[in-house]
Amino acid sequence: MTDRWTDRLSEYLDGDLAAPERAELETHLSLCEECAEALEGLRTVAERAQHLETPALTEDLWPGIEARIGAASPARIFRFRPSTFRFTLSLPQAAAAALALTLLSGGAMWWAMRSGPLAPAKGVPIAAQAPGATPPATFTAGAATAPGADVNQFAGFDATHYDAAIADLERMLTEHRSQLDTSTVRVVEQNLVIIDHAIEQARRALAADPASPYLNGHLAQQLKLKLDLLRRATDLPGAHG
Amino acid sequence: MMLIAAAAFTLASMVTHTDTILTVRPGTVLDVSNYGGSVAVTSWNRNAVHIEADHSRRTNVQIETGPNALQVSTNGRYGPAGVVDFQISVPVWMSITVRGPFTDVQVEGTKGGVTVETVRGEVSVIGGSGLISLSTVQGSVSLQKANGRMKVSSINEGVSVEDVVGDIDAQTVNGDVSISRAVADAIEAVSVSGDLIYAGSLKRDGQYHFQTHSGDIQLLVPDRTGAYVGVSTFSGEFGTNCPVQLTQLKRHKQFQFTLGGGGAQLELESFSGDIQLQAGKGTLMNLEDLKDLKDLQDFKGLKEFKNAKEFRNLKEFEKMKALRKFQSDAKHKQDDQEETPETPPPPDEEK
Repeated sequence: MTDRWTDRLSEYLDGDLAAPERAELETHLSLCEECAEALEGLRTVAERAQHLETPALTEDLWPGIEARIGAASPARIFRFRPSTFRFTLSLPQAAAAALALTLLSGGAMWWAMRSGPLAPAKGVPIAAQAPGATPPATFTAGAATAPGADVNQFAGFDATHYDAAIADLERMLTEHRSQLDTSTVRVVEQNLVIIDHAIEQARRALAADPASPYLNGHLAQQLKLKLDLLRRATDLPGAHG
Repeated sequence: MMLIAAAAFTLASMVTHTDTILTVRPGTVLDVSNYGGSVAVTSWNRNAVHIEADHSRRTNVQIETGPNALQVSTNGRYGPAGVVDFQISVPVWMSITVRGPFTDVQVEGTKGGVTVETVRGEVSVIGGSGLISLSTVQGSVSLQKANGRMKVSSINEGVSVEDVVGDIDAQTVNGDVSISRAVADAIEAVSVSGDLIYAGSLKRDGQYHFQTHSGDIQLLVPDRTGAYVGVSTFSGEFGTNCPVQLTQLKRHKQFQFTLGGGGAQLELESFSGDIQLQAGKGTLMNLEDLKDLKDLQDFKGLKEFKNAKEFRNLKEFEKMKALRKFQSDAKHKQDDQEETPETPPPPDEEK
């Protein structure tokens, strides 16, 4: 059986071959037993596949899921009321909004703390990773998106903006640190380490594949999460009420 | 014994109980600020707020009534406020805000909006409608039977949302997000190191985004769900029992497919965790299957795959074909060898 016809059998089955090729293949099939056999096999599989029933579940995820969500109460039916306001944003919009908010709140916080009574603490920096220690990534594309979305919305969006905002908030948090509950500080630091680890992994992956929209978007998301956490941490009330 | 009795008497005398009932007009909101302790809010069928609080004599409970708000707060006589445990009954229509850095918060039965902000505390809300915003740092968040725009977040523990209708924004860093029995137009579920679990329906015009860094994602949706699905992972695995056809396969493990004719926009992203999408019942199909499926697009006679078994049959057929070709090649090789002159027999046989 020649390679040429092996690759054309499915087209033949579909009726996609032009008339001369079809005639040529049919001539070939009458002479080549192997090709005829392969074609018959293809046809049989196609026919059988059309009539297959959905097999029984061999791996049922539900018990595990149910156990984890602790779903003890029966499903309750609610009357659906369509929401008129959608608060979700696309990733680029969210990132831009977060950045704008952060810079705004960061600036306000910086001004307030500079003029306020808080004494700067000379403690260990709250974040394990020095801001800007790693080369910034340039976002050239958005996260993995649903069909139709513009993956180039991140064009020109630079991670250095994040790094600068993060550095500001880290500094503020360091200054604010002595006024926070020690247990809370520990938890915030642990979670910053977790996010830093994720950022580091995303940066490393991105270094190997700078054009990946997913990796760019993923890094942006991790940076945004870090910004969010820092912003929340700097907004936390002090341990002394 | 005398000493113990004296100590018990002293302690008892130090604890005081506040108990008051205030009539409120419809539309009044409740704002509770409690530095440490707990706040438990339940509803009743009266246009009044019943406030009970257990606290030390060193701590005052302040109640201020305004035209549109009832404010409850605590302060210390000689410094920071101490621990106060509140039990509050409110009208079912009342919107509630509770703030406190070291406060556990429970709200049940309200049909108004609920806002909870704590740092070290557990948050549990059953009921609520409109805007519902629950956040903590060290503690879990649980929301049930709510209706509206829901934003739930923790930092170091998990969040769970059950039996709700509305838009959901659930986020944590070091914990799981689980959402079940939800009817949502939009879901945004994010964690860094935690798993994301969703069991519920997807609306045809809904938008659903699940993203984690190192956690797994498990989705259980009804059979015949229609969605445009985007899957992205760097080093995780993907499995599904859905009859899918890849529409795009990009580098790493990033691909898109249409489920059930399309509809909802569903994005599943886990950098290093595994992603599983299960619609009703059926055998799970893994990423290797899907990759092979992509490679086998030449077989247009099988454009539509009804399920994973069907596809695996095709793969088996391909393997069979490859084996047959291998056997055929081997036979040709053997025939060629037989045609070559025979080598002389070994000396022993010659004898």
